[in-house]
Amino acid sequence: MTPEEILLRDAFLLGIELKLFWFVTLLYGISFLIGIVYLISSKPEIGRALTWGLRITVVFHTVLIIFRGFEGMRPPFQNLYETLSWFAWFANATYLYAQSRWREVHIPGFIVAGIAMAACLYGIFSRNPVISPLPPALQSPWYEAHVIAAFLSYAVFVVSFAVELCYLKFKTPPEEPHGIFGYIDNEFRRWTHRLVLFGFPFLTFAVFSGAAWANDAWGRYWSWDPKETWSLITWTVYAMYLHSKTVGRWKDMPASLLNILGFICMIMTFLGVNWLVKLFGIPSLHTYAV
Amino acid sequence: MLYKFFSSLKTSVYILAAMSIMFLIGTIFPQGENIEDYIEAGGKYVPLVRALDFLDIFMSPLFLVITFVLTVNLIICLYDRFKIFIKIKRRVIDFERLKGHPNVLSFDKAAFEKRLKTIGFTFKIQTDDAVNPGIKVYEKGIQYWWLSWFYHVGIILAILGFFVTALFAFEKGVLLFPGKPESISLYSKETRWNEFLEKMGMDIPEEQVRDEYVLTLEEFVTEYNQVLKIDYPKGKLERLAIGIGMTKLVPSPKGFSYMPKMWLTRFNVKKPDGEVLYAKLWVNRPFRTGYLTLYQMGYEQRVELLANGKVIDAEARVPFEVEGVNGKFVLGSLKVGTLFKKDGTTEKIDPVTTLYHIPEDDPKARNVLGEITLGDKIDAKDTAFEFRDYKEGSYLSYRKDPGIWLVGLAGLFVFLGLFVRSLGAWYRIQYAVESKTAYVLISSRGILADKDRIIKKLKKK
Ligand code: HEM
Repeated sequence: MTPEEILLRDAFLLGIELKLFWFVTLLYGISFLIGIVYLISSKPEIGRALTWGLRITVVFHTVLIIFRGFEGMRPPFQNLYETLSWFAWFANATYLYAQSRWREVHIPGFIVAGIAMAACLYGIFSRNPVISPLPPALQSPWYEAHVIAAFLSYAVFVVSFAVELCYLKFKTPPEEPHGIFGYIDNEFRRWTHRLVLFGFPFLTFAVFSGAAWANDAWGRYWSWDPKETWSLITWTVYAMYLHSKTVGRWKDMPASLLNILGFICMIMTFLGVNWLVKLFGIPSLHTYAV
Repeated sequence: MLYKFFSSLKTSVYILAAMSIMFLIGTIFPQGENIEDYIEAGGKYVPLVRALDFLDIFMSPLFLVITFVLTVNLIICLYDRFKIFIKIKRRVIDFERLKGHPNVLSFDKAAFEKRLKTIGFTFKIQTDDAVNPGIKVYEKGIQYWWLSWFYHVGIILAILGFFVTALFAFEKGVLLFPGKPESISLYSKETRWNEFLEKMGMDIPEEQVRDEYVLTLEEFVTEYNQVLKIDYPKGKLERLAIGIGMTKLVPSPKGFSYMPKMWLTRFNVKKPDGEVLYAKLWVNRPFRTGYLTLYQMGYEQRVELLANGKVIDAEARVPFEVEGVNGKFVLGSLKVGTLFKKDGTTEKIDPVTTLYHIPEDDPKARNVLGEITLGDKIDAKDTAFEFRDYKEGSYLSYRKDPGIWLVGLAGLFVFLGLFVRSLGAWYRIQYAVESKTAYVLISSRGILADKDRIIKKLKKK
């Protein structure tokens, strides 16, 4: 093939990929809407439809990720455009796995669908999808491991957050275990802890591999830049959550609040601190690479 | 009292909360800035910022105190739990409570113990009770409290490592041009430790010959990838139009562009003992020997131009003037080296750069005058430019960090502990036999622990 033919082929493949990505985003959107209807009507069939919506989406989304890998002939987790998609996929897959263990609980699905859709839209609108080789600074096995572990842990925390919110809002009183949204009981709630316990080592690995990468690339494993520091805040908050789960009186509400706070910190790692800096009226003398 | 306070998990949660608040402050206030600049830029809360060192929060006394308290908390906690674990004073349930426990299971006593052993449980202890049957304890998997002990030790190591780095590490840069050896020293007076010694009125050690290394550049190589250019629209609606197939994605008329693939430096290092090592390094692949680590940071390109007959030594991306011509000029990055093409072939790039003009009244503007290749000429702004020669220097940084191995070790401790603890499986079975029934209580830890599977196996005849 001549370079020009390769160029045409790549543009063609990227076109297909983008259509598929939009379609997957639409499916998340539809699932989210079904979730809203479920929230209003609380009809069990609609709850089941929500879970089915997410199941169908995960199939198409898997195809999308494999397609992207095939297009670039490399693992598709190398820039924010790709990892946002992977994050949404993993959140959905984790949710579906957990959901398969619950009896008739479908409601957290609408939160997961909403977040997955937001991640996909963010990827589509704010990033450039054109596949290009990694710049030298990012060519490190640590970098790849770092990105995969970070987004994997974030995805798991999203599901934990969704479960936590649904528990707080819809928990069923002990005398009638089957509430309007199914068995939202203590067994259901144990998933919040289980999920964070699963995600935490990966988040730890993400922080560590990020440091190892920085150490190879610049010789300084930690420089306290806001992004690094936010990941440390997130990590500390989840450590507090795990600790609170082992303290008798903090197992309930305080732990729930810490879980939700952990989720907010995680979002802050993404969105950066610029608005917070403005809120406090602090001049930012650096230009941070957020 | 103090011991109780420090061995409590609640204390650690409070300390971790205080820590997070310090981190948060560190993300809001510009770190490493000068307080005067901060005030000049209209910074708020100046007395507070000054008193609590908000512009260098991670070295502020407050932060150090909190870190110290956390470390003490961790050490005491670990000591406390160590004592408990060693004695395995993990309380065994008594018979009445076992039998009345909501999660208790009953099994046929026959061969129960044998089955436990065949599925991998090992006997731990047995209690004696004058009245009731004794309780036997069996376990399977690594005891999770040792794992969690292990990763908490890792956290202490990490804090220590950070501290050693903060006190003793330093880094500097060196620019190497071919044929011009540079010497560097693995000693710096500017570490925090030396600053501290100086403040205390003590002598700082002098630099010695044994710290000196000589670096000589042999070759600096740049490589580029040929990158696909596709005009992907920026607008949301235009992107949506592509997504729903209303418009087609097309290659850019410009075709391909260049993207840096790698920068690589080949050089030799003369060590203090006279030994010479031949080395190469590139981005993300530092070169290490002993305590010295060298990193590829960047490069400097110098172009020899002839402008109206006068020789100009211009650095790429740095504006220069030509006598008698208004405004300034600047050269873009020089492209030179090997191009890796999309079709798998490679090509030597003819050294080429772009010449821009910067008008006097608009110093931000960069007006393209044209591309210029080695040996070529262009006429622009009433000036004849000729690209005569070029050279590239490699910019390396070097660093000595005695804390790094501690942090690495800490990482290893933390992971092994965390991963095995969280993802692994540990089970504990306490049971007692009364007539033909075994009353069994199963507890487990770890994501992979599956009580139901164990129960099934125990029931299998
Ligand atoms: C940076 C500081 C710390 C971090 C990141 C951290 C992290 C963790 C994590 C992730 C867990 C739990 C997961 C689990 O096994 O359920 C845990 C449990 C625990 N931590 Fe910490 N910890 C820290 C400091 C401390 C301190 C200072 C103490 C001392 C009071 C402490 C005592 C404990 C205990 C007793 C447990 C429960 C043991 C267990 O269930 O494995 N931790 N810690």
